[in-house]
Order: sequence, then structure tokens, then C-alpha cells
Amino acid sequence: MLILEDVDVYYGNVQALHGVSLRVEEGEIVTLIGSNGAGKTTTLRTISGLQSPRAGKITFCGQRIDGMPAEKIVGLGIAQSPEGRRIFTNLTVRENLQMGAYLERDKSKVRERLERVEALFPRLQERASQPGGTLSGGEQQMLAIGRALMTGPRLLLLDEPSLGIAPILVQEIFREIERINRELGTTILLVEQNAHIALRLAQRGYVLETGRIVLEDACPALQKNPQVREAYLG
Amino acid sequence: MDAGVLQLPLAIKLDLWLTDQVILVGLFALLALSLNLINGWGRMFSLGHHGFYFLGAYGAAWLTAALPTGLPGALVFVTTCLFGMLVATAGGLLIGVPCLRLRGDYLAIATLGFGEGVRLVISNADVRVPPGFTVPRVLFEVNSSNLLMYRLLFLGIVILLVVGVVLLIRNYVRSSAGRAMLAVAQDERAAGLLGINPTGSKVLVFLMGSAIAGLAGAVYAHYSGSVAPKDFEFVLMVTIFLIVVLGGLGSISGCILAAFLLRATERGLGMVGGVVSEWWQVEFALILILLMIFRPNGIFGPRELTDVIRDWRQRRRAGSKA
Repeated sequence: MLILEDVDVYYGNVQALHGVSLRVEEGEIVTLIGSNGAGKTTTLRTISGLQSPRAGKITFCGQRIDGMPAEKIVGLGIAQSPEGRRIFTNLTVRENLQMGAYLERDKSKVRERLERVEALFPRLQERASQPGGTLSGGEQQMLAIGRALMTGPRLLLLDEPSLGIAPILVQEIFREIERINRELGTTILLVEQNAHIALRLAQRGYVLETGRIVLEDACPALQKNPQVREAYLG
Repeated sequence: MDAGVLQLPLAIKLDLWLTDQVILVGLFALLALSLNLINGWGRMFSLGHHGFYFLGAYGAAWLTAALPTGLPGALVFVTTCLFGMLVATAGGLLIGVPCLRLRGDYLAIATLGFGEGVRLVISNADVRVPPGFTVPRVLFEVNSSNLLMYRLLFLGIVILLVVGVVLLIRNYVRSSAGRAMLAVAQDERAAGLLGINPTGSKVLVFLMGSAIAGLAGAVYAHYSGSVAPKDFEFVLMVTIFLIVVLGGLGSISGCILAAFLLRATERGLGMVGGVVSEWWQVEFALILILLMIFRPNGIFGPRELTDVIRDWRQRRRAGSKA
């Protein structure tokens, strides 16, 4: 479904990604783990079109998407819940969700998606008319994921959904991510620093180190890998 | 103003003065509302709004002078106003498309350069437009006996325009495109990830703002009967900006109230000042300083007068119960 081939990304003169290649198949949950500054967020930003690769190829369902503007890529069915959530604090929770369906002209489809998202995260329905900025960190994360789902994606990119959130809510959010994959059939590429929880949820994983993919395997194998155990599972 | 006015009874003179003041407040409200659209809701820092006002006024004045005489006055009025609006919008497109990728201060510098530049270029270039020129009266010939009628007519037009723009902004902010504008204003990147084209959204808001400013300029040209570069200097921009900051970025009622307050106090001080008729300079500086200390978000902040009254009532009810 999504294929990255030898992707190089630079910030100015600094190379952030060195020949990154990875693939995500339809229906999978794939995780990308690595420490701070390894290039995880850059990889997602590049897929979403916020960053252009200097070399390499990105294809989504057979179509080249590298170099496309972000808003076009959303239209093709790739949504991202960005790192740090970045919800619109001055809009209400409901308005935040509706922003996600900005490109969808069919009102009944928007309503359908809204119902689905609010069934998934009932808290968002309870707080529908509150300004987004008044939510707790965990609720904001639910809102960011819900907002991304409102675009009606086939592939959902999640950037650090556990960052800065109470452990009990992390469990809840990861249960919902699994439901999104199972019940809605949405393919998921998950970026996480918390390798424990990411490797439990995903089927396959990639390990990124200073801009290079150093390992790729099925998650149970990665969990047993001594290198991974030492570096990421402590 | 023609000499006949001086011989009019005091009551009529007062009426004339009042209508003139309210019309000017209305024009300032239009300018401030449209700048608020760009600076307040859109969170783009533009300092070139006087340029759009200038383009609207000169566009309308030029077309009025260029059109053959004998056409129906109302038709000429509407056509020239729309033309002034168009010229200002074209100016907005010219400066907006290349510059709206700039942020904060850089955008302010670019728009400031534009606002000052168009005035200086047009008033110095020989483009068949003398630097200042009279605008033929198209609605009806004005003399001392029907001057009040003329002003009342413009008062009606300006009030209508203010109401129209208020409704436009209210509906726009609540629409899908308007919410996209608010989203882009807060976080361009997050908005882009939802399929919103941030530059497109910003250009649209910028063009709406410049079109409204142009329309205000066109109406001003017809109202005053003459246009001159000195009416469009940077101090005008400062005044509009002060109204927006005073009223609150993103507040419609705050904007209108501030336009009224600023104009009224400026006039009042002008009369008290006598010899020193430049008291408004002190006032403006003082307002800005006090504002930053006591109400850095403007009179109402981003809220509306109705919100403030509702809160105040609720508090009073809570207070009487306790």
C-alpha cells in the first residue's frame, strides 16, 4: 500500500534520513521505533508531504506522492495525527473534528464519520462543545486521532500517541488504535518511543537509528532480539 | 465645503457636523473590521491596509471622472464603487500571493512597503491622474440647501455597508472556510494535514479584507468629492490598527465601539486643544501604553459585547444569590 524506496531527506545541509526504505501492506499495523532524533517524525512528515525528499521514491497505492503538497496527500487517503497533538485550542471539540472532514463535501458522510469517531471516543462526545484547549492531554490525543479519522483515511499515521500522557490513558488509547485497525480496517503506521507498547500492538516493526533503518522484522521477533532488548526495552 | 454653509442656522450646522462624524466613524469601522479579518481572525500581521483604501478611492474617482457624463447617477455610483473594490482586490492579489508565505514581522514590512508604495507611485507618476482631484458628484448636485440630504444619504449607505460587513464576517467565521481560516491562523501545519491549503485560505481572507477596504475607499471618494494623497498616509494605518487592537483582535462589536471611541475622543481633544490641535498624537500613544498594561487583548478580547453582557448578568445573579 505504502512504499518508501531509498528516501533521503535534508533539513538545510543536514541529512536527516539516509536511504530509508519501508513498506506498509493493506490492513497492517506497522511500527517505527527509535530514540529521540532518529528521524521517526521526519519520516512521517515526508510521507504526509510536509517535507520533500531530496532523493528516493514514495508510492501510495501505486501512485507517486513524493513532492505532492500535504493537502493533496490527505485527499488520497493518508491522515496523520501529529506529534504533540496540535489540536485547535480556539475551536470546540466538535469543530476540531469537523475540520478533519474539510475535504468531504457529502454531509451525510461527515455525519457518519462523526458518529463513528464519537462512538470510538465517547469522551469527545461528552465534551463536544468545550474549547479544544480545555481538554486533558489524553483527551487531546483522542481528539487528534479522531480528527485524523474524520478525513476518512485508508492509512493512518500516528506520531507518538503516548507522549506526555498518563499511563492509564495510554492503555485506553492503544486499545482504541487496535479497534480502529480491526473494526474500521484502517491501515496504521505507528511511530513510538515507547517500544514496549508499540511492539505489543503492531505486527511488524522497523528500527530507525540516526536516520537509517537498522532492523526490520515481525514484532515478536523484535521483542526477542537482544539488540532491541538492550537499546529500547531496557 | 462651499461658502453657503457658513450662513446656515446653528442647528443645521450641528446636524451636518454630526452626520459627517458618524459617516467617518462608519468608514473607520469598515476599515477596522476588514483589517481585523486579516490581523485578528486570520492572524496575519498586515500594515498595508491604507493602501487598499487608497486604491479603492482612486479607482472609483478615476472611473467616475473617465465615464461619459449623462449616465444615471446611481448606476455610476455602484459601478465605480465595484471598480474601486476590484482595484483594491487586485492590489491584494499582487501583494498577497507572493507575501503570504512570510510570517509575522516580515509580512508586516512587506505590506507596509506596499501600502506606502502604491500611494507614492501613483501620486508621483503621470498616469492621467493628478495627485489630488475632484470627484464629480454623481448622485446629485450638492449645494448648501441639500447638503444635509446628501450627508444623510451617505450615512444610510455607510450604515448599510457596516451592517453588511458585520453579517458577512459573522457568517464567514462560522462557515467551513471560516473555521479553516481559524485553524490555519492557529497552526498552519496541522491545518495542512487535514487537507486545508494554508496559503489559499490566507490569500482568500486577505482578499476579502482588501476588497472591503477598497469599497470603503470608493465610498469615501464619492462622499468627500475629492481625493488627495495626504488622506491616505501612514497615520491612517496607525489609526485603523489602533482601533483593531483597542477593540480586540477577532471582536466585531469591539471594533465598532473602538472606532467610535477613538474618533470621538480625538475630535473632543482637537476642540479642547485649541492651539495644539495635535493632541491626538499624545492620546494614541497613551491609549497604546495603557492598553498594553491593563487590557492587552483589547476592550473585549476576542469576545463580543453580547458575551460580555451575558457574563456580567450571570455574575450579578450569582452575586445576589450569595
